[in-house]
Amino acid sequence: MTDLETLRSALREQPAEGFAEPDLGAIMTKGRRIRRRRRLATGAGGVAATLATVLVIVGAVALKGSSSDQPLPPAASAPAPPPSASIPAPAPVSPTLTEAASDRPFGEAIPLGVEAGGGRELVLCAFAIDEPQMPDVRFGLQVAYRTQAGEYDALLASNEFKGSDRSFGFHAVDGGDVIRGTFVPVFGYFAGPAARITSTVRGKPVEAKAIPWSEDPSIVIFWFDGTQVESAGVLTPLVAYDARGQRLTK
Amino acid sequence: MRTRVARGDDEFVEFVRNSATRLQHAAFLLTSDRHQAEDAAQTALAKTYAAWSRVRRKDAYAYARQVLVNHVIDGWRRPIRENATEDLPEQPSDLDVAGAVVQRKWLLDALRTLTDRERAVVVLRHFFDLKESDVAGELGVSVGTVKSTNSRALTKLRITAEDGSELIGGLGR
Repeated sequence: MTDLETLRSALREQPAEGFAEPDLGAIMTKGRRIRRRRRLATGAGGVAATLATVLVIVGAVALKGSSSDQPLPPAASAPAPPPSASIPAPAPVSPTLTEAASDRPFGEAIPLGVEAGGGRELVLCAFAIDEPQMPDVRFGLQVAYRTQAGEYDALLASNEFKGSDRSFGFHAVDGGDVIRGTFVPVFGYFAGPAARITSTVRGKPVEAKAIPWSEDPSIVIFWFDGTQVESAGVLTPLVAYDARGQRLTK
Repeated sequence: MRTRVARGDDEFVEFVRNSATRLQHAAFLLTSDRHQAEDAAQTALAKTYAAWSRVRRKDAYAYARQVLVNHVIDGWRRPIRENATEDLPEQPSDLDVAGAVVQRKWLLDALRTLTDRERAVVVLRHFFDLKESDVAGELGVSVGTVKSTNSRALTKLRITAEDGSELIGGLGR
């Protein structure tokens, strides 16, 4: 056997300790999210920024209504295309849309401590949702630019679309992507009395910054430092603790 | 958060079952880190699923492999990447009865002595058994670059060439 064959044999030898089973649910959820974003970024690239969020939400609902066999992601979200986009594109969803989402915050915006150039800063805030097909979803979260003039320009929005936006647990977890040249950190919210949100990345514990929502303190908005968490996919899993240190989630 | 699996996803589920271990193994060779390898394979499979309708009738495995390698290489471009070391560990003796464990440790330590590109070429060429032209295509470099990079990597690993002759060039730097 030549050295090269020995090398090849060594390369193919399975590590003594096997690998973890791939998380099929997480793979497919993430895959759907990527697919949806690609569609928005290419085929429907002309949809105006203020419209994109609601379109995706309605799309998710329409999909849900059309076939119960269709897999659905846990949250609907979409990177908002640049506001300069002007070419109208076929809407991927129901034409019954009557009201566009606003980039304007619902409650107080939380500065993320990131300068985005041009005098803009990155903020995380809730936005209002008023969609008849989702009567129990009244808000979502978005990461947006905020200009010095106080104008908001959403980069990535995410919201619950099944059941209630305030059902106990984690909702609308997204982020960890570079959108329009800006890294959007992993963010989400927890409905419940969470004081700490933690997780692990490659075995290393990480803790999110968590702030109660100004409009409803039972909702805790959180986000992770981008240097510690590069994507939502690496979190295994999210855990919430109350003020006494008691674990709220499995 | 729940995820349901539709009937049309059965093929993808089967694909994951058949390919995940090999992708994780390749990622482990590229990163030397089990957690990173599992994350990279997970990401590659998610991206493959995103393109499933397009790639399922072609070579889905090749697509997943390419996504995996690109994903790992993108990670290398980030500043947290440690630099390759010049110090090659001692190769275990052929008579070493500790066998696989020692050999594996040597292999992982030895791979760390390679540059990112050398490591990628070694894995694509000798783990995945790709032709030099295919390696070049996946890495976006010329065949000549693949040849020279492969030669330099094997020299660093103190591996003799396929014809049995010692490769020359010392540590190749």
